[in-house]
Amino acid sequence: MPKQIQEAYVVCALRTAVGKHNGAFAAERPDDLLAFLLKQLLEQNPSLDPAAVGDVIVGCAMPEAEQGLNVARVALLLAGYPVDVPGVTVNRFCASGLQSVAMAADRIRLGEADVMVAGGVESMSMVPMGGNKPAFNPRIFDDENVAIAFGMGTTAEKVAEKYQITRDQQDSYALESHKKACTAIDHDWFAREIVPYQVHRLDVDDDSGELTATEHIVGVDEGPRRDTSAQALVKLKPVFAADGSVTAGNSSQISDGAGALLLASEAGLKRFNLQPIARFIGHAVAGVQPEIMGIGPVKAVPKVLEQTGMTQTALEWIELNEAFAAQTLAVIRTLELDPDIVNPAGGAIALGHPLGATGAIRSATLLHAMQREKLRYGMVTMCIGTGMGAAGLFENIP
Amino acid sequence: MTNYRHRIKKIAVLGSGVMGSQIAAHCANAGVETMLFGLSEEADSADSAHYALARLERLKPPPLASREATRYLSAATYDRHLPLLGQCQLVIEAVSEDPGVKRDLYRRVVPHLDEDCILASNTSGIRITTLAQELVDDMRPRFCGVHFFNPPRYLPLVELTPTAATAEDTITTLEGYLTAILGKHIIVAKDTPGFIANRFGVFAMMSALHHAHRLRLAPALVDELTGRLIGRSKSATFQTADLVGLDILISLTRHLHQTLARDPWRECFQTPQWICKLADKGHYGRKTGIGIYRKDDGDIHVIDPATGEYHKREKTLDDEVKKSAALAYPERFNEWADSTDPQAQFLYAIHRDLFHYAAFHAEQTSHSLRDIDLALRWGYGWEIGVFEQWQAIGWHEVAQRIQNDIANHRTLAAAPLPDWVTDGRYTPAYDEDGAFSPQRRKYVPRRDHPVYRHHTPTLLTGETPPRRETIFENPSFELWHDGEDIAVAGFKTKLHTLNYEVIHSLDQAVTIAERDYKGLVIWHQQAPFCAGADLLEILLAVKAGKLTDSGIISKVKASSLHLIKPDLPPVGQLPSIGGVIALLQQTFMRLRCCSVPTVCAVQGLALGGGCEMLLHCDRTVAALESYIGLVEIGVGVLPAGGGCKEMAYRAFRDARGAGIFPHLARYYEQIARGKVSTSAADAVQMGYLNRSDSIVMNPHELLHAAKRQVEAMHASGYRPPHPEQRFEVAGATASANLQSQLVNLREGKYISAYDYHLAQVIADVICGAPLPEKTTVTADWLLRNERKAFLTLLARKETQQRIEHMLKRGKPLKN
Repeated sequence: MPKQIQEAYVVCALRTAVGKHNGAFAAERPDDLLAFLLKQLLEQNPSLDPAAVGDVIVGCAMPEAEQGLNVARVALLLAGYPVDVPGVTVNRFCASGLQSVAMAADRIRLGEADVMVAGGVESMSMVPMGGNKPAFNPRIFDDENVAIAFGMGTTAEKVAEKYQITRDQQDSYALESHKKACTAIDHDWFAREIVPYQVHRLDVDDDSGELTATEHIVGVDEGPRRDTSAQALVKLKPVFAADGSVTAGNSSQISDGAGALLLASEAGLKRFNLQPIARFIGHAVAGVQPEIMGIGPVKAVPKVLEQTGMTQTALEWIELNEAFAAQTLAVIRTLELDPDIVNPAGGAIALGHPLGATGAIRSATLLHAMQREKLRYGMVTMCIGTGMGAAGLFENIP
Repeated sequence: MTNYRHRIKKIAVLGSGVMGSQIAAHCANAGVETMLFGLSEEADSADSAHYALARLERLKPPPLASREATRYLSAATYDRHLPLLGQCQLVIEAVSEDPGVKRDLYRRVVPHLDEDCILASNTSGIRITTLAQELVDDMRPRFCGVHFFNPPRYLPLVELTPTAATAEDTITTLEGYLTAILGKHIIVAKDTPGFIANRFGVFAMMSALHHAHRLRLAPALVDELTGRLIGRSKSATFQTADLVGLDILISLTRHLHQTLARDPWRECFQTPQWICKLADKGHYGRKTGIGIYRKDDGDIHVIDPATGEYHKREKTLDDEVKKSAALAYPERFNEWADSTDPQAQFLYAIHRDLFHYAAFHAEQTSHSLRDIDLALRWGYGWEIGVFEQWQAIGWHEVAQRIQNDIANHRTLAAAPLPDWVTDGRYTPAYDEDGAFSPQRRKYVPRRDHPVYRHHTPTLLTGETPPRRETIFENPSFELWHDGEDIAVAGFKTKLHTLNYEVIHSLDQAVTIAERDYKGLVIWHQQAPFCAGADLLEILLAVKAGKLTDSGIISKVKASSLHLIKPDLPPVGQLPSIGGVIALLQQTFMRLRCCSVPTVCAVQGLALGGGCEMLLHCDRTVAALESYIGLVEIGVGVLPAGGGCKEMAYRAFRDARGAGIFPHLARYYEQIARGKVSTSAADAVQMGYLNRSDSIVMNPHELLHAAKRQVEAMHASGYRPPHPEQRFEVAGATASANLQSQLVNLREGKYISAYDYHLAQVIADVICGAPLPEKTTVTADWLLRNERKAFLTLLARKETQQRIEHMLKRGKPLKN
């Protein structure tokens, strides 16, 4: 059991809708998306004194350019937090958003803070995966470290081959993800976690030369496709290997979005009269071979269960990030997860995967799902580039 | 002087079919605002111009020479946009070949035309005079036939067919405009069915069909016999039919059959039943994926006309016939004529029939025999015309054979040869005054139009070349001038490849140009510009162990080499590849740094060393149809004539102090994939041409344009770049970035292990690895790395296999 002096609770978990690559949020700066959510945390918890926030920890997988310069600090200032509140950006690639929650909880569990903010942000439209200036170390090509250079798709092909996940299985899984996500949207499952965001679009009128501004509200995830079908998916060509099985249709989508959570200790809850929705139980990260990075949760999940003394059977809702259908299926099979409780509201294949934001976004999805469905234990887990897995456990507080 | 771009600023093309839309695309290639009219407004309707414009992106070969060209195109409909025709100075009608449809359209269109506007029909079948009769009186002087050939971007011929009422100014304007602005080659035809090219081109096909049937030769064999073997287009007879479309061919022959009432060969214009049956089934050829030929899993199958079944295509050409085709014209024609071999008999018969037919109809259809020869060259892609061949074989001998055959009822028609052929006063077809005109009974020069003043057209067999003085010459190279103080270099090697003699001579040419001339132009009358290094010479030197100067050649090896390539220098003088490459690099660097301007005049392929040559000249003047690329990886080596160095330099130059890698990555990918530009405009996008280089629409203007570039640079006090080229490299990390992409391609099995190795070597050289980013280097340092890598790769058996495969098969080996 981890040594902690007090519990960490989640008070509020919010996110933006997730936009498609060059979609709804194409022209929205990620620091603006994040600042908007940070401000929302304060607005939805008016009894909280913002100056009491011990730190704002934000995950981002490519922390540069529009999401660089320590995006956590920039966004909190833009959001109007007092200058006394510090901010830090953390990077564990696809687990960055979950890492930030774990680190925020740890500050509280250690007794060094009573109120913390955690979050994640990523605009893949503005900052490409790999960043604007990739710069590989020539030495990685000398030995087995070459897999550091593998694209994520290449690792998915390796997982598909090693775990014998067929194209057909991947496509069926992808289709299900879209169906589940559409059902979730139709039942307003994301209503409590998504804060609608107003986007502004500027154009030049060709005739008058004047600028024209249009605004519209984005409150629904853009990724899920109601029109997709097995026939449509089977037509897509493999994109990472000549005779491969991983396609754009059975991989996660390139996306833009942000998530933010407010955490507090029991003292913090009392002092600011806040209602918790969940207790943070624990978090673990573990490494695997970089060339099969997708299998990461296979090591992280048992590790966090052992750390916290929990059993897999106690889990009732699992958010398993669908980087690729191939790795998702390999993880489900290897860990013998109950498929019915994995991503009941769809996953990244349909909902999108804004890298560093995903951990925070899917935490929000899990916590609201457990509230709605009156479940007790849930988990957020994902694989991580260069070969890692992360898993975080939460207990619902009805 | 007429400024044609001013005279015709905007064009409308009526008819959004395959021809109309492609003509519009070519106008856009020339940077002319063009409206394409279609029937429907709906973007997804096949009748709409929107649909036709979108289809342009899918057609092969691509009708558009660059993305930029699409900006000149707009879609219009007859219902809404006819008033916009008032803005156009040229309207080209390309609607269906139905006189009624055309008449109705003209009635709607003409009221909207400006009084200066020329109306032209692209009809290939209907008499222009018939169409002109449908027009109001004041439109007739501004009406003319303009017959483009499919695909209009690539086939240079346009037949201009005026009527008696067409104003001289209309003809002059169209001839000037189509030549200078659209880059086309013009023939003025008489208004007879099929005009010139189709009349004789289709007859040639029909005659081949007739004799193939008579001699029982299969379609695939007929194509072997009637293609490049005898100087006709590669697609020969049946592949051309598939390419044109069997439906089009049938309607063309049917039309000729109907309209050629008094043609003694009329009955030849009948499509065989088996071809009609294919068309009935909708098997039109290339556009439907099945016709006379069919592609199955990469194999080509061809129909058996007797059974309608398809069989795998096999080569069945007789060795004897193949050998005879390599003989000089008189010998081969006589050999075929006297042979009993069916294949040889076939070749004799199709030649004789075409001579007979062309002679009989020349007076009625054309202004001179040259027009018929040019029509078949420019419109059908033949390497030599009918009367050129006749003259090359021997005028009287051929005439005598035809007369004998007529007498013995062996010809397809009994019509006698015209008197000018036989009476001995006007033969042969060409003399120093020009080509014979049966109508005027005299020899006439080429057409006189100001637009041709600076042209250097390809000379026909028998035509007198313009005067020029040779400065020096050897079997591979010529340096000459024509009194303008500009030295012009040309290679005499096959495909204008670079061998040791060419490189050595080019080096000398630079020395001479510096001493005695304003500058140096590298130009060839015909494409390609240069297909790269002479691979055979390289391979032989490798086999002889002459990679470097320390290599020793055994006498046995040397003598066997001379058997393969007799013009190889004597053993002792055989230069090492290392030495030749060093000379190549040095010569190209001299093109860059010498004290006079150097200009490459490019058309067709400029590959490998050919591309490196233009990269090092001060300027390039390129025909639109220029296909430029560094393709060395295909034969297992890297660009080592300064290509890697130059692209590394250009990336540095483009970066202007910012990151070099993004610029270099694009150039690198082009080299690693061996990518070739699809046009000169595309080559600008790829960075092989500079924005300051000129793109010429008409290849006949290339030499003139190149010489003017030399003069302009000379007149402005030419200052060569600093002899020591220094720049910063992208460095080891950049190379690692490139390698990270290669690793994924290798893992995904998109590239072989050897592709990976080659690409890695190129990455290291072009990035200047292992130096760190932004280290300053000299060109010499990078050139040395190119050379070292080149020699190391040449020593690999995989590279030698690639070269051998390219020499044998003409395409890259994947190993």
